[in-house]
Amino acid sequence: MYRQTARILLLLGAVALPTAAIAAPSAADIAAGKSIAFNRAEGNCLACHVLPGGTMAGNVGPDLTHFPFKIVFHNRQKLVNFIYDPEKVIPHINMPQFGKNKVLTHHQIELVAGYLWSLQK
Amino acid sequence: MKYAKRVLSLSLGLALCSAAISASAIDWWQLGNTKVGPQKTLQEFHQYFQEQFPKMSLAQYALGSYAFNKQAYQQYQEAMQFNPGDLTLAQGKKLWEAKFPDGKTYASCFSDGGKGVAAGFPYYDSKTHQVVTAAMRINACRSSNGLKPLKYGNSDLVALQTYFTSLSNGLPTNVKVEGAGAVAAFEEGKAYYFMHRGQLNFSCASCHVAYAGKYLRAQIISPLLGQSAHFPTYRSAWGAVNTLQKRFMGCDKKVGAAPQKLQSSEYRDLDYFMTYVSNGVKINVPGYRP
Repeated sequence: MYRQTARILLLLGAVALPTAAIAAPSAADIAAGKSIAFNRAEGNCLACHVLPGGTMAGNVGPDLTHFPFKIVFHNRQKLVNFIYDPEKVIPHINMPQFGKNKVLTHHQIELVAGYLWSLQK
Repeated sequence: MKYAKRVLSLSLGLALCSAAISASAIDWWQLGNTKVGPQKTLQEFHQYFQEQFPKMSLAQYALGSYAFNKQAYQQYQEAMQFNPGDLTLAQGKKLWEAKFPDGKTYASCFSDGGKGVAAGFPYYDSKTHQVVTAAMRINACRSSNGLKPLKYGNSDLVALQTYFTSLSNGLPTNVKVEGAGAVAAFEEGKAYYFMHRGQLNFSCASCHVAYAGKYLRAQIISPLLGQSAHFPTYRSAWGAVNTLQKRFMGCDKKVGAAPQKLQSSEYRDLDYFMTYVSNGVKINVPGYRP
């Protein structure tokens, strides 16, 4: 996982996505983000990633339970940008382009990013 | 910040190590990008999976995802005692042995009555410049004996394909790719396997080469190697026996791509590529899958 984390770090540094501050999500928004992440017909993050409270999670992608989102992405906007089009950040990554290919709406991606951001202590 | 530096230095070290290893090891991404010809492709794929799963024998690839989980394998062995697919097999046998209006049977269309023939299927026909499958040959047999061809996907045709393929049970897959036309069809199939498609933007290889043996939710991802050897197969998800090409349609749909038609040149070429790469894996039809 560290190797993957570092790859993301290095590439994020190279890409330097625009940063815009977004308001901290409410508890309701976090719950909504979790629901999208768990839902098979929406984010379906559990297909590939372990998330706290998720049952029968896949192990194709990194375990996100203790993933250092803040260190890797610096701010939530960069995480939103990553989920929107991971390929832009990490070429050949095996992760759907959730925003670019309209799997999720921009608002849904923001909710998911807010939920993931909230996982860190 | 300290943590970040540690992560960075640790991972740089790991990256260097893996770069050193990858000098000899095969990277899955490269498998699809080099036009090295069929023989080298087969050899590289076998080597790649050997590196991924050093303890697994070629024979075990016939088990697909069941090779990766003991508990699931036990369930598989129990299921195979009374494989619901055997009903389709029996139906296929009955159809295979039924007489045509001219008194002949399907066996008359194949050398040795069809025994061991399917191990070399699909094959490239240099006269018609295309990949020929069991379904096509069965229909051609009907036509030449005064019967109408069956629609692809028709349950009788699936049953006939199942029985015909089962006549090669226990034999290793032995598909040939020889000549410029055959190689071109093979490369088309290979390209399809590695082409990203659909809303999720996955290729077949994204999962079945890169992540074989890993879990998508509760499902174990089967490796490319051996996937062709148990089709037509019973899948509980289908509640029926169906073909490898039917499975392609399901995979295409799952990633949000428009599926091709059964027996389209795309799917036949794909079938050809996948089956050739599985050469050496023993045929076991009908298989049983979740």
